[in-house]
Amino acid sequence: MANHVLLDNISHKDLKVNVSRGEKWGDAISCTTIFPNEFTKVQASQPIVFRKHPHTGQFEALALFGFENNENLLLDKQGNLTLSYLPLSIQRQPFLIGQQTQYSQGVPEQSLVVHIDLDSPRINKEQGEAIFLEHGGNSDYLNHIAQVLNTLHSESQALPAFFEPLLALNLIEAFSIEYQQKNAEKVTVGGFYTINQNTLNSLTPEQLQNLQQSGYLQAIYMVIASLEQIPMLLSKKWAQQ
Amino acid sequence: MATSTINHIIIIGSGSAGWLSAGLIAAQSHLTHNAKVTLIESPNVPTLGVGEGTWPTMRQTLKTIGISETQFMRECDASFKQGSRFDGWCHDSHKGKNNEYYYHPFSLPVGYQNLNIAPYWFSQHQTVSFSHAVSSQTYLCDHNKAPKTHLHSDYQSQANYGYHLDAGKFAQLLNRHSVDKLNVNHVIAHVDDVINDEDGYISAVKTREHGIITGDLFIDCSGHHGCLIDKHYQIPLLTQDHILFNDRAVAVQVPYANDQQEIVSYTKATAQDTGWIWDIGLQTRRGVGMVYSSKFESTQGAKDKLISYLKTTQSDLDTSELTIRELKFTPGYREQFWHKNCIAIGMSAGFIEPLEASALVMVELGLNNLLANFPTHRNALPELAKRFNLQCHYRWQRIIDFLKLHYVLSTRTSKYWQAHRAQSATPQSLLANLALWQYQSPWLNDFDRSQEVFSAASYQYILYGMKHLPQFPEMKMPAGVIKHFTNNQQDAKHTLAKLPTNRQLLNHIQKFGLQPI
Repeated sequence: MANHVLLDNISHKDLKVNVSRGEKWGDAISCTTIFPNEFTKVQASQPIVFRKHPHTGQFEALALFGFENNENLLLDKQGNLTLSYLPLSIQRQPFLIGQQTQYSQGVPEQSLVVHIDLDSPRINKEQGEAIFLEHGGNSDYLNHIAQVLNTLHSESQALPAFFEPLLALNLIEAFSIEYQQKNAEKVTVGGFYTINQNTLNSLTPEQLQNLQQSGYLQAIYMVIASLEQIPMLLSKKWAQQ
Repeated sequence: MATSTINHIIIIGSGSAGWLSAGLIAAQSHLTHNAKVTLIESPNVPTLGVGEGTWPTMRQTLKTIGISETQFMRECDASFKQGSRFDGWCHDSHKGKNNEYYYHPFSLPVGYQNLNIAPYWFSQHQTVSFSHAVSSQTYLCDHNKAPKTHLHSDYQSQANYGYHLDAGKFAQLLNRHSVDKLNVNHVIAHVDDVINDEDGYISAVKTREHGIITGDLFIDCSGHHGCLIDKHYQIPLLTQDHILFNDRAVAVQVPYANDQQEIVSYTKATAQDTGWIWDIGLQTRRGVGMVYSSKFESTQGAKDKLISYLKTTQSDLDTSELTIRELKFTPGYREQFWHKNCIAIGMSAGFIEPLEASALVMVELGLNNLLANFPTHRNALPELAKRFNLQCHYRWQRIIDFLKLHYVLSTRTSKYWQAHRAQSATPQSLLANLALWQYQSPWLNDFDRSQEVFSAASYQYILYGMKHLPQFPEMKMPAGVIKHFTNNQQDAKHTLAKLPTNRQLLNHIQKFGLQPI
């Protein structure tokens, strides 16, 4: 269970964060949220798929690590996770962004604040990166985290603008991943969406140019290229059975 | 002088029928060879704004017009409708005991594609209602569930559904969309005169504000005024008040008690001694009204029944603040719907009564027929008109039979209901079917046109909802049939757990919307 609290340099002054990556640190996850600016790096090693967020129903992008709950096929035999690029949504752990209402001369203003998940196995007092300096100032690590959280916030604000033209151009189609277990049982994992390549190929030069100018065309091609990583993940799944 | 090709379609009238016509025609310009569409709106003529219920067909209609479901639901105060519930139609209501009801859900009975399951239900009729036995949607209605989740896309469904909507807002949305996106030419002007050519075809209308507007095909959506079909061509209305004699309604808009109150996802129709009361849940209010016959009820009497009904649904409702609108209509339909180059769509073509919400679907069906075989040349008009008229006559007769069915099976004893059951007030075609259905169940061959308005399934829901069972030999139930019944119960359990309430999903659509895919 998560236990999110507002980070402060008094209650949390001695806390350290273990930044190792692996199963015991909470990285046994089958996917993580990513953003279009990360697609180029992610596609080199994981499939990128879209899905509807379970609560909002809005489209989001995921880097896929496995096909079942808590299945991360990229963990090595020792349970360590080595990724050439670590998505921001993993880098931020165990911190997250929160909103706070502050009143400036009686006018409510929303400001962004840092929260920490005190139940994260990464948190301890002995090992890892210190969050605060001895006298209460922010460590470089915390400054880095603040930057990551800021980027995540602005990327998630910009996400609807990415999906909007894709949906308007009918570029998004549903798909499912089917595979066969070693025991011959067939499994279908559905609820995924990707780019419809036929539609993409039939766009007019003007439509393509618009996508290119907004920077989305490259992201689109990265999503298509990343699908080649699905067989790679499946072969890892087979190897484990 | 009119041209011989159909290049300009003129629609008269700006209610739901007019704007649905404009939207559907303009969105399918490939079917009309890019004919220009002009809608003439008469200033200061308020549209009637009834017809707050649609059929599932409206989903395809809106999709064709190019309006997203999210936009439609947000802008038309719309909610999901999964069918109708009829309260107190079978027996007289007794004080303190008025809980008899049955459903006509939009979903077909289980196995309907291959099997008539009704005869296998007869032996269970005392333990489970027909609609509960054969349609899991009935359970969704019982629990005020939505027909889908927020992860379904626009127009996609878990259970079949149509809408409840605000007819005024609906016409406004269609107006904006048709003008902004579909290049419909919108003219606001009084039509003072209609000009015929030498063959008696309409060549133009003369307007007070914009002079003469010429056209090739004229669609009369002017409601009961019937400014072309009635005033100009004087095509008679075939009145049907000898069969279905409701001719008045009193209607009111009622706010919800609070923003937690459940939004019911079916039209509730409650029988009264002199008519019946509709109760429709939109997102922000209910629309409630009593439809009745002026031969059996006074306006004040109807208002009193309406108020007393409202109090049974919400005891603390302050009814003194409510504005009750009065409506009059003559139940009937035209002798011809398409005459020369004029087609009547909507109330100008006919109206019987709001039971089973057939008004908007008749607009959709009429337009689909017109567009499926759109005349490109004036010489094609007479034959197309002949076919269209035959088709419409058939449909109106089927609608009358089906609506009448709701009344004739009742055992209510007031004079109004007795008059409904008089043989002389029942169409021969319905009497013949009822005679047959004493021995067997309605099935596909009873209604074999490709575009029937009401299918055998609908007849089954009403007949068996009203416990009008045939004399039928007990049938041994094959394993496959048992499976259909158990699957239906399992499906009900599964979907009840999975689906949000109608209100929850409507709130979600306001906040996040649904995705187009």
